[in-house]
Amino acid sequence: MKHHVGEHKAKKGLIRIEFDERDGRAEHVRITGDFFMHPEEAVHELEQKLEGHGIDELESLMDEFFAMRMDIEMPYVNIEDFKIALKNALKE
Amino acid sequence: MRFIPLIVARPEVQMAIDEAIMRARIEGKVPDTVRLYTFSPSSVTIGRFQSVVHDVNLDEARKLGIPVVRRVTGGGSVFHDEYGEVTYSVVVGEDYHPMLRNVESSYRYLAGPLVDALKELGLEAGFSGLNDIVANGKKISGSAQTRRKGVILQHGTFMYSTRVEVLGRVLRVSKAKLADKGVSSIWERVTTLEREGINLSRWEAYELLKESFFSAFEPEEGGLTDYELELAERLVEEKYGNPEWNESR
Repeated sequence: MKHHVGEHKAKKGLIRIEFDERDGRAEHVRITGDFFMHPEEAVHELEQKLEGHGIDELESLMDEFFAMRMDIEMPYVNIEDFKIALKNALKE
Repeated sequence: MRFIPLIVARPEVQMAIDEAIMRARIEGKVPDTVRLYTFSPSSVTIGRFQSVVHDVNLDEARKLGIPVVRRVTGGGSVFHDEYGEVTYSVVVGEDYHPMLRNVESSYRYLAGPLVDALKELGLEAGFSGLNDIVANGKKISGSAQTRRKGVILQHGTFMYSTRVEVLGRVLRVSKAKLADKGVSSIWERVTTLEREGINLSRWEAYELLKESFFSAFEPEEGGLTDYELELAERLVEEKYGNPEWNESR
C-alpha cells in the first residue's frame, strides 16, 4: 500500500488530495485545504465519488462529478485546480 | 438588523451560536444579525475542509492549552488571541443588499465596517484577494462565509494585539501558500494594530468595531432568543464540542 499526498495552491486556497493506493485503487480519499466550496457537503460527495476506483480513472471521475453539479460555487478555484492537486498526488 | 453585544466564551460555544443564529434566520425566527465576540481561552478555529494533522500543530496547541474547533465555513486556520482579537459575525439574507448576490462583493460589503474602522485609525487599509483585509500592506483581518437557503453567515477576525509568535507556533501554513504570497514566514505577512503602532484595549477595539458596524448597518441592540440558545446548546454537544466533528479531517 502506498500513501499519496498532492497539494496545489489555487488562486484562493490550497487544495490537498490524499489517498492510499491498494492494488491500483484509491482508498481513504481525503480532500482537505483552506479553499471555499458551497454547498460544503459537496467535498465529501466528491471524495465518495473517487473512493475505491482505479487511480487512472480519478481524473475523469472528477470531471464527471463537476459536470453534473451545477449548484457548486467555488470562488477563485476551478476544476483544473483539483486536477493539478490530483496529478501532484499521483507523482508522489 | 439586530446587534448582539460582546459575548466572551469558548470556541465551541461561539461557533454554535453563529450556526444557531443562521439556522434560526433561515427558519424566519430571527432578524438579520451582527455580533462581536472574543474567545476565552485563546483558541484556534480551522476551516471546514482543513486537516487537523496538516494544518494545525496540535502538540503545541495542547501544550499551550489552546482548544481547536472546526468551523462550518471554509477557509484557513485562525488563531483567536483572547486579548488580541475581536471576531465579528453577520447573518444576513442575500436580498438585504444587491452586493450580497456575488460572493466577492459580499465579502467587501459585510466586512466593510472593519476597513472603515482601520481608516478611522489613520491606517492605509483595504481588501486583498477574496476575503482578506490588509493594513499598510499586511493582513490584519480574514473572513469566511457560508451560504444556505438564501442566508449568508460571514465571520472574521480583527487583530488588534494578537501574539503573532503564538500564532506562528500553533498554525501550520504550507510552504506553497507562503511562496504564493511572496513571503517565507507568516511573520512577514501578518500584522496587528499594535504592530502598526496603535495600542487598544479589548474594550476599545470592541467599541471601535461596534461603532463602525452601527454606522454601516444601523442595527438595534438585542439578545439571543431562547430558541437560539437551545439550538446553540445542542450544537455544542453534538457538533462543535465533539471530536467527531473537530477531528473529522
